[in-house]
Amino acid sequence: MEGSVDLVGAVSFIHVQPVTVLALLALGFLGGMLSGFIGSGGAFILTPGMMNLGVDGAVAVATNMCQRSPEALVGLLRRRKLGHVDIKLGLAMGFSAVLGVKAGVKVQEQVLATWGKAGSNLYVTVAFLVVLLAVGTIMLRDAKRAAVLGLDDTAPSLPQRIARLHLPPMINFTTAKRRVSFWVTIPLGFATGLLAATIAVGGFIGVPSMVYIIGAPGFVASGTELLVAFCMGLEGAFEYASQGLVDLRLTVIILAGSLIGVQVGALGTIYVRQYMVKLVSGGVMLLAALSRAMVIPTYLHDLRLFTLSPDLYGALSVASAVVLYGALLAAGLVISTAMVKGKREAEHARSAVAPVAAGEPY
Amino acid sequence: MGTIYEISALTLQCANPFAVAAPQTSGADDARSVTRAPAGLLNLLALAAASLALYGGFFSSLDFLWPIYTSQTALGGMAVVASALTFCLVYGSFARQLLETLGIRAPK
Repeated sequence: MEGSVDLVGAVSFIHVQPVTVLALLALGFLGGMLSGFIGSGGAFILTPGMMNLGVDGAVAVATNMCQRSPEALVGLLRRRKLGHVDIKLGLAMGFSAVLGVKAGVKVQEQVLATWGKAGSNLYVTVAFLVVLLAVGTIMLRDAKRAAVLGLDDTAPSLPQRIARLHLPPMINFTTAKRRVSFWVTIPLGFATGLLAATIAVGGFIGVPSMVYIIGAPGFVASGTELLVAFCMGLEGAFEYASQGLVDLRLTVIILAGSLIGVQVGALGTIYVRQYMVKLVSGGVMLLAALSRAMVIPTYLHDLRLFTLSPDLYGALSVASAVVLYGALLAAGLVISTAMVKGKREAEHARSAVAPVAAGEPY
Repeated sequence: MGTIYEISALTLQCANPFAVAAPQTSGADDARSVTRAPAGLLNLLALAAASLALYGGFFSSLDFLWPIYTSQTALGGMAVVASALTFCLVYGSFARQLLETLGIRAPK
C-alpha cells in the first residue's frame, strides 16, 4: 500500500450503548422518512445526526454512503416499476459521479491525514453548512413562489436554453423527455459525486441539476437520482471501506430504521403537494445548517485555533443535537399529519365519486 | 398533478392487503382472500426470523468480523459492501412485508 495513510489510526469508532442504538434507530427512521418524502437527498440528516452522537466526520460520511447504496437500490427497484427512472440519464450521470466520488474520497483522505479527525469534522461541517444554506434557501424561495402563485410547483427556464446547446453526442432521455448533450451531464455528475463523497449526499446537486438544468420532471429526477446514488454509494462505500472507515454496526442499525421510514415517507409524496415537500425539506435543511454552525467553535477548539470553556463546549454540542433532532421530529410530525390529511381527502373524493359510478349502467 | 392523483388512486386501491376480505365479496373472491391473509402473515414471520437471525449472527460474530471490515484492504471493502447489501435485501423485504401487513403500502 505505497503512498497510503493509516486512516483507521486517525479516527475512532464509538462505543455503541443501548441509548445509542435507540438514537440511531430513530435517526434512521426519521432520515428515511425524509428521504422517501423528498425523493432523494434526505440522507443529509444522517451524517450530522451521527456526528452529534460522537461519530467522527469521516466515519459518519463513509457509514452513510454505505447505507445509502443498498437503500437506493430498494428505492430504485420500486420507482423503476412506476416509470420514474430514466436509465440512460442515470447511467450517464452515474459514470461521471463515480469519478467525482473517487476525487472526493481522495480529498477526504488528505484532510484526515493532514489535520486529523478535528480537521475532517470541520471540513464536513463547513461543506454541509454551505450546501444546506444554499439548497434550503432556494427550496424555501421556490415553495413560497409556488404557494403565492397557487401552483403545484414552479417551472425552471434554464433547461430550454440548455436544450439549444447542440454539442454531439446528443442523447435522447426518453423517460425524462429531454434531448441533451452528453457533455452537459459530465460536470453535473462529477459535482454530484464529489459532494456525495464529501457529505454523503449527492442528491442536493443531482436532483436540482436534473430539474433545473436538464429539465427532467421532478419525479423522474428524484427516481433517476436513485440510480446515480446507487452507483455512487457502491463506489464510495467500497473506497471508504477499503480504508477501514465504515462502521458497519451503525450502518445496519440505521438501515433497520430507514428502510421502514423511507416507505412511509414515499407514501407521503402522493398525498402532499410539491411546494409542501419543498417547504418541509427547506426548513429542515436550514435548521440542520444552524445545528452544524453551532458546533464549528468546538471543532476550532479541537484544532487549538480557539479556546472554549468546558461548559460552553458541552452546551454547544447539546444545543446542536437538540436543534437537529428537534427539526427531524418536527418534520416527521408535519409529514405524518400531511399524509393523514391528504389520505382522508383522497378517500372523501373517492367516496363522493363512487355512488355516481355505481348508478351507471354496465 | 394528474399523475400524482392517478398514483394516489392506485395506492388507495391496494393500500390494505386484508381489505379485500370484505363480507360482500363472494365465491372465488372469498376463497382467495381467506388464503391470502395467513400466507402474508407466514411470510412476515419468516422474514422477521431471517432478519433477527441476520442481526443476531452479525452482532454475535463481530469479534471475528470486525478485523476483516477494518482491514484496510479491498477484501475488507468488498465484505462491508456485500454485508450491507445482504442486510438491506433481507431486512428490506421484512420491512416492506411488515408495512403491507399494517396496511401501509408504497404505490405500485
